[in-house]
Amino acid sequence: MNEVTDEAVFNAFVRGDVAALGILYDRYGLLVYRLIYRMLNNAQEAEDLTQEIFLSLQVNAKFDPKRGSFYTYLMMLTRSRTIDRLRSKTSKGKFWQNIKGLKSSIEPKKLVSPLERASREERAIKVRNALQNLSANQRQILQLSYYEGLSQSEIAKRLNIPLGTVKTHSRRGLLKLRKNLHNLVN
Amino acid sequence: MSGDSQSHNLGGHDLEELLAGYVLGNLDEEELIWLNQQLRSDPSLRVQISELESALTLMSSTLPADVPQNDLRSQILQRLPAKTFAFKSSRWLWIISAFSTLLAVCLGVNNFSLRQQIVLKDNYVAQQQKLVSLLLQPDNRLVSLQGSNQVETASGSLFLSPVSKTAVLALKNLQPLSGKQVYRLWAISQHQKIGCANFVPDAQGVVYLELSTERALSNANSILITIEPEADTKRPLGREFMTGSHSSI
Repeated sequence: MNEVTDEAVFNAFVRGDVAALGILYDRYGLLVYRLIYRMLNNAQEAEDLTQEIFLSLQVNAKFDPKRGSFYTYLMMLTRSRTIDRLRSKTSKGKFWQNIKGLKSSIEPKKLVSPLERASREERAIKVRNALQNLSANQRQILQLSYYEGLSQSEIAKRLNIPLGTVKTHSRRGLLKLRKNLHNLVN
Repeated sequence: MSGDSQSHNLGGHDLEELLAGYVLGNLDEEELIWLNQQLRSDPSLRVQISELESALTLMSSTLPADVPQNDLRSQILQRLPAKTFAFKSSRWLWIISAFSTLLAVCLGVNNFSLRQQIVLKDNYVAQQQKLVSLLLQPDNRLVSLQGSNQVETASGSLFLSPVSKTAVLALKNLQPLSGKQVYRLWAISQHQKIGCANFVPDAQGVVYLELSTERALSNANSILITIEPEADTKRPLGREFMTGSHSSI
């Protein structure tokens, strides 16, 4: 079944094939986890939210193959849900978040299989190169937006630049990234 | 694919930049309204949105190779079966629900039927008990009733219990009557015929009728049953059907 498209696997899952979700997790589980972990900086919360996201596919999936790949849908969903989680955490003290982050940073990490590492690295190099071809401002703003889930106004405040400039850099940066990654986009 | 060199400037808006802003979620209200109008008029713009979303999400592949400490795959799949079973078995649930409803209706009907039978049995037992208590009374009399001609097959008795002031009329093989016709019981005393009761048989031609013994019935020398054109006639108008006298006891 590993040769089957994501869309077919997803449809099988929607029809009740539990094993299909396992396949989707095998394909994208780590990417989902890593993005959440990068944004929340907390391993336990990243694990919990990863589970929530995959389980939510069963009851509230709005994936439409006509509007993009399953991978894109899943990662956009992941980013959106993680930003929601970040927003809900704003009332919590930074101290406890930092403690949790410190704890997770010293927890042992599992090894990644060589095959997975090679495949991941191949794509990562292409994306990293594409990001390097952006201007420093474009790259920095996109990374703050995507990896940390910061709003445009939060980025403007952090970088001490006008909001309009942030928007312009982020939009042009994304357009340029799409051009640079045209072989990988969808 | 559309590159940044292919930007379109429409009405002061750069379409491609707004599409990127849409994906990044940083459009202001005016920009969002304008772009939504463009999306409605040109659905193919969704393709560009899809490409921009794809490019943005590819950034995930540059993240460090962190892995969860727990087996998330197993944990996710362990939490799935109940819901998935519900999804897979929705048709079965529907069938089971329908079957259960049908079964409940059948049991309800059966229960009602049983209750009806119990009521009938209770009535029958009460009837028998009442008869037994009447038989135990002193000075009871029994009037045997016979058809007035050889053709009639009807038969029965009138049981009189003066002490309990009760009479019971039991007949069988009575023919059903038409129209307003009724059977009428008369008490005959000193050549006077006094009407006591009207009755009709059940579907099996049986009559079981309890009466309170009036003076006329208690003092009667003989009993007459006629077929009357209507109920409560003051004197017999129809033909005689059955007769009996105390002398036959």
